[in-house]
Amino acid sequence: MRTIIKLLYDTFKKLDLFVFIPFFILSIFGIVMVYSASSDIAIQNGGSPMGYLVKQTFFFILSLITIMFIFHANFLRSTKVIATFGMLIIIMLVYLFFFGKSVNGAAGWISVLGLFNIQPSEITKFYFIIFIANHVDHHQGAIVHHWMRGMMNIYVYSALVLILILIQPDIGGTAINAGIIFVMLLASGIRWQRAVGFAASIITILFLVFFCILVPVSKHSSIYALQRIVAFTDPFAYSHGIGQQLVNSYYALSNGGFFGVGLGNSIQKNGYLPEPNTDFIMSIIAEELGFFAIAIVMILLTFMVCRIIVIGIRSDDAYSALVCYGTATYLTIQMLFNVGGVTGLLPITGVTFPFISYGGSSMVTLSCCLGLVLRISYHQKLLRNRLINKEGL
Amino acid sequence: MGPKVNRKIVGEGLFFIFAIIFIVMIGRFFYISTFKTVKGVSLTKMTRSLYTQTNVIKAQRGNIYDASGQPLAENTSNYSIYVVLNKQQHGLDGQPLYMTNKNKIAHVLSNNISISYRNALHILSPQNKDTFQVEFGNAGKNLSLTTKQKIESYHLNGVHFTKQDARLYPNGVFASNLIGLVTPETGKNGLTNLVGEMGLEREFNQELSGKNGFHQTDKNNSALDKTTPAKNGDNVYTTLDYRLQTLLENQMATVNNEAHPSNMNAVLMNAKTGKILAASQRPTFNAMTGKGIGSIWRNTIVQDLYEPGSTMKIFTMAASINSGHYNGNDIYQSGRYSVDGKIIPDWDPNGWGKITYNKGFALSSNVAMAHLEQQMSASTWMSYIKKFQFLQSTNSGIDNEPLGNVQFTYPIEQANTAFGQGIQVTVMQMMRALSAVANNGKMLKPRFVSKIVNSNTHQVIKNYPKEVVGTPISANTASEVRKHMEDVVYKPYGIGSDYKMTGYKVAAKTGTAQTSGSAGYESGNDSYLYSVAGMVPANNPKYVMYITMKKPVLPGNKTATQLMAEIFKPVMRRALQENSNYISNYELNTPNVISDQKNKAVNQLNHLGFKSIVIGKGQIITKQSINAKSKVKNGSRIILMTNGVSTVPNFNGWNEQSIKSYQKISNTNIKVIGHGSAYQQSVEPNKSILDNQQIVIKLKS
Repeated sequence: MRTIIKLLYDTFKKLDLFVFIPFFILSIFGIVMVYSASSDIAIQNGGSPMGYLVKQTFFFILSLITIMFIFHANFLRSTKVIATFGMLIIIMLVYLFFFGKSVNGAAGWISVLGLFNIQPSEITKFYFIIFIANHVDHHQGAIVHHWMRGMMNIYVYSALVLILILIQPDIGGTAINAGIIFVMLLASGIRWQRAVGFAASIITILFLVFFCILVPVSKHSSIYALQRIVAFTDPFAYSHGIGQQLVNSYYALSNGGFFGVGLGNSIQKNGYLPEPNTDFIMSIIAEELGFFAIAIVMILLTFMVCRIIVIGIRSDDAYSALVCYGTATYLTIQMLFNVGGVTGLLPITGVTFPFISYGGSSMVTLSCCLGLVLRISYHQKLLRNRLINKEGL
Repeated sequence: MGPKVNRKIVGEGLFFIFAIIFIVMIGRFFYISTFKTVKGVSLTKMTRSLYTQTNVIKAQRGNIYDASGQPLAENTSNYSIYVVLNKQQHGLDGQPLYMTNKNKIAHVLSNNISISYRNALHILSPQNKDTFQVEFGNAGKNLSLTTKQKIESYHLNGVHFTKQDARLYPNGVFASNLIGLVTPETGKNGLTNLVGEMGLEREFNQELSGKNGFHQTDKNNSALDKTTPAKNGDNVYTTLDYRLQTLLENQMATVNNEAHPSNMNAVLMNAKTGKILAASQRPTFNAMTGKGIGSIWRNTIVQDLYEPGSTMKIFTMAASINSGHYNGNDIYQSGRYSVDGKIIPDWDPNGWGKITYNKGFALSSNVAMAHLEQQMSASTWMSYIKKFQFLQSTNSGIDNEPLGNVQFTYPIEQANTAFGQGIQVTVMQMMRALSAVANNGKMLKPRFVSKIVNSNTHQVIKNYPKEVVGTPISANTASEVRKHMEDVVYKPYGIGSDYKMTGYKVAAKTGTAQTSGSAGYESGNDSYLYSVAGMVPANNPKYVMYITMKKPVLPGNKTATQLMAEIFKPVMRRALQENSNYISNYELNTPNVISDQKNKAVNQLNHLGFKSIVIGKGQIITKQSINAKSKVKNGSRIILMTNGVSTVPNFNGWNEQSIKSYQKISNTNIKVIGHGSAYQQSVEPNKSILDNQQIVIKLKS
């Protein structure tokens, strides 16, 4: 027992607190908000809010263990392990394609022994981070000269996985995975001017496709994904149909104002807003605790993201830098899609908010990434200390 | 540049881009939370309407009653039928809510509503296969509860009903143009209200409508719930007497069928108070069935102008006497009289030789009246026309009341008005002027409405008391004029002998006026307006009755005067008889006997002069049919409900009103056949009432 405590204490001392403390605060806050937001959805589903509280607490503890495990693990840079992991993911996704379990309309979940459900499209986010980081690290020379041929493995594998996720269908998951892959490729060491060019052209193309093709087409389409775009462009016209989620999210924000209606007092969670404890938890926070709490949450996450990027910038090896950039991108895109959805800046894609929304897969995946980042940060610190010592000598 | 440097630059770029993304998102949250507006939509307004649900509590329209509280217009509901064909419609337990047996539905409908089997089948088989539901036009509308229940008893899948507010005019043809009608109007809030369209329904629409209430529920804070109770419409009590009106309508119908006049009006007024006890017109319509509604929309008693003819001579006479110009025993040459070269003829142009003015009046001589007018001078005559308030509104409350007009420039025109030509009046103006003669000079405002009563508290909100609107003549003049009107009936040469009534002295004046069309006065036997004004008893009139009959097609065996007497005499007689009953019918103040012991209550009520009827086998009174503190006639039937098992009373001798109040208090399904008093009932007295059992009661008069 004492050894465990000592191990925890030693580990804690080694953690980058600029990353860990925001994570810790956000997760604890998440538990509270999941409990509050579940008060009605639990009654509707026959469970109890306490059930969600216990589960989310369990996920938090699980994520702490994961962070510790990853922090100490050194096998994640082994090409063999990563390749095996990659095969496993393909198998899971193929299995999902045939035997997927439907949760909330999307068949993206695999039930493990009936005990819990895992979401492969969450795990792939972590996998892509270590896979690309590792690949670039090993083939840096080739990539600099032949960015196309040098990263062919990545393209092929990514395309395969993304297609498997897309056909689930999980558009939000596909977009986040693609975003992570894209940003990591930009940071693979290719000339930065080229990276800027790629980024600019992709963003321009996405804009054009969205506003010039998807928006006009969506008005006459009955495809669900396109109707979401209608809901985004004109929510009030469809406030009892497809626009219902966004409109009710607006109402929650409006109810909350600056300081909120008080913890537990949300009106919108009582059947107006679907998924109040996952996709729309930020709306509930805004309603119960106001913009004030939202600002704190967002600033904590911003701080964390910026810190992770800084760790990445400071890293000398490609693997460390890319893991950090990948993780920062992961957090940012996840946040962007979630907050963009609930505030009407982007179509709703059913994406959770990192660390706060209810859900085990997301929590564990994020922890894997954070564990790696913390490990990188620790080693960076060690290295720096060693250099300082050297200079001092 | 090495890959490491490139990566760092990309990293720094990410730092700034991500930071900007976060700031934009925070800003978006800030914007919505602070301004609470998105795309010009106010979120606060939207949420307020989302969380509060407003239900309208409909105000009930007030009833219109006769003087004794007999309903003339009351609220009811009726039903419209529709059949759902769409096969997707299922109930909670999965049973079909759509048509499953077309032939049976058509069969049942053809037996219960006015539609043929073939027509029903045709409607039930629309060409468009996607038709969701079908209706049956007028045949499927305004169905009574009984019809609805009967159709429902067949348990037909797919047959449904919608309920509407409706107005029931239980008496059919009953002062229909005066009581008026309502039509459903759908307001902005989507609710359908009944709105008065004509008659008293229209004039008192505001009072009758009441005010809808609201029930506002806040889904999240019951402390914010608000209820504004509905204010039910007030009840309007008319001055009409149910029995007299019914009789008048019957007599009018009979005469109307005999003579088919283009228009006929009859008004009976209390001479002492100005209350109109009965008023009827032809053509009219049946307010219950709507039959005849297209033929006449006007209230001809108030809204039609006409030349009154010889009944006007009453006022010429009164003016002459009152102004001191009348010398009844003076003699004049009857037959023809020339005014400025224009001939005034008597109805018999040969005349009756040289006769007295007294006899001239009884013979309805135009020449006599022309003389009287010239003797007192045109200006004096005009001043009396004004004193009798002709050419002035009676302020009846019914809109579009014309003032009338007169041609009074030349001596011939002035003379014409003395016998009721060249002057146009309304029936109401005649009633008002007649009241001065009947009521010893004190002219009364004729009125239809006696009071407006709050339907909840039974408090009188507005009274319309007796109103003396002028004193055009002295009591002596009035009395003298009535004497001359008696001569019309009783002198051997009088032309109104048809109005003699045994037991009562009648003062009357008949009239025959040429009706004027666009091309001047019409000629021919059937182009006259016949009229009669009568007051009974002549020495101290209690009632004034006035009848006009325009352009009748006279049957060979009867004169117009005789036809009008068929209306005048029975109605007047019943009024006079009722009046003697009234004297013994002093008012009772109803006590509260609820929760009293049965025997004690019965003793108390019988002692006061009620007829009490106990229903049920319990010992404690739970309901009483007449509310406490109500004022009712001596001998009124009061029904008392006890807490025990309900039993059927012996209805023998009950009138419709008593049966109705029994139905109301006991909630029993009763069907009444006929009018008058009950003589037969389908369930024996003292049997207990089974659920939903219908009791059929037959009435005869």
